Amino acid sequence: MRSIFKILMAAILMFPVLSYSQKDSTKLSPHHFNRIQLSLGLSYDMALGDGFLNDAYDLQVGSDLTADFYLDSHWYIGSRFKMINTEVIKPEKTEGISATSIFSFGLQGGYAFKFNDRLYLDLIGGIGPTTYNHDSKFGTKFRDSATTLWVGPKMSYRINNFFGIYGGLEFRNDFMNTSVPAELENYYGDASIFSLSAGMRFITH
Amino acid sequence: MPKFGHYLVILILAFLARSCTPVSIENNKRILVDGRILGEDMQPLEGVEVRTATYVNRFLNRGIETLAKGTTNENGEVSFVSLDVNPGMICLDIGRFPGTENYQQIRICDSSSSRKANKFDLGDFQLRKQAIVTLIVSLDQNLGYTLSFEDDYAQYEIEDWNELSNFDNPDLVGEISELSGVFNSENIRDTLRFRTLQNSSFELLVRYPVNQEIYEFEVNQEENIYEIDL
Repeated sequence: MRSIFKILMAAILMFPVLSYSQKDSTKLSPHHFNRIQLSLGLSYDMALGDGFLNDAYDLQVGSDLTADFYLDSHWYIGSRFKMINTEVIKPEKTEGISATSIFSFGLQGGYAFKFNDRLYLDLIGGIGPTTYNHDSKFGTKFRDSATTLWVGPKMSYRINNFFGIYGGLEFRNDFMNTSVPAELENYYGDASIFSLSAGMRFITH
Repeated sequence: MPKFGHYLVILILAFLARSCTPVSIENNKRILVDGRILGEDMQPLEGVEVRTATYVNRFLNRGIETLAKGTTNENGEVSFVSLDVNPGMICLDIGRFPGTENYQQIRICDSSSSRKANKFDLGDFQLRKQAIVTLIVSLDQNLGYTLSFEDDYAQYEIEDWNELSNFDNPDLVGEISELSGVFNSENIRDTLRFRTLQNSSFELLVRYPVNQEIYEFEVNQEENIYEIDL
């Protein structure tokens, strides 16, 4: 999965460079009110800090889906769904948890800087609930919940009026709702994740 | 029109459903088990295993299973994180594992199906040492007997886990075990061997043909041998 992500990332980063030298005859319309963009991508996620997520888990490639609605030529709001699969690398630290998947859903807003008709830099921030879905060693499931804040830039390149690609960075923090004694607040209190993402973007005219 | 076979299938499915109650792990909760395990002389005990456990009720598999466990270090300290169950009873087992067979084994369970506490603070928890008793009886007639002694295993119930650190362990009495039988005069000397706790006592009730008599013994050492002429 990680090699697929690397190939996709390299292709997306190289595409604007390669296509820049080609003569472009496509007329691209600028962003405007009520334009909708759908983004579908993969992310390479790394847990940060001394908390449970960085200590006991290895994060796998995540998947990301967003739907945004332009308020004008720059500002947009939207919703986002993200899933990260994990691998438990220290079972002794997870107290009988055999597998965990992380699901996030939330609202986000962004501002798109236009460099030219094709190249944009989006600054995005959002908030929403996150669920850590666990499989216990007893075969039953349970979950931990969190409130997630995320922020980061995305560089996008429009291939035509309907289709584009993007690559981005993101920092997110999951403020965990797990009830623990004061001694464990640092370990279970929150989880920070840094992500590199890349994907495709579909845009209405 | 349902047939008898249909009712039988429904009955079997209901039985299976009843007999397979899943372990319900509580969402958004972790428990910290923390404390020191000491001997009666306040010396730290190394290598004592402490675990949290809950009852599982699977098809063909019922019993108590470990949620999480930890082992005391050279300072007698133990600290580990456990999941909680809700609904479900939770137990704390201390010293119930190989390597700690020289000390008593204690199980503390709560009576409720859920709990607010997210810390089980053992404080300085003292364990009493086991003792082996050999009782040699000399006799010339068949006599019935009942032996009563403090078991090296004890189970207690706790209502509020916040009171765990207040357990004054040396005062906790183990369960009383009873052994009954008949001394056989053909052997002339009969021997009873059992495991109890140091600094405890045991009683031997002997039934003679016309009366019965109780003999009391103190257990102060690790190995104890007593001889009695009946």
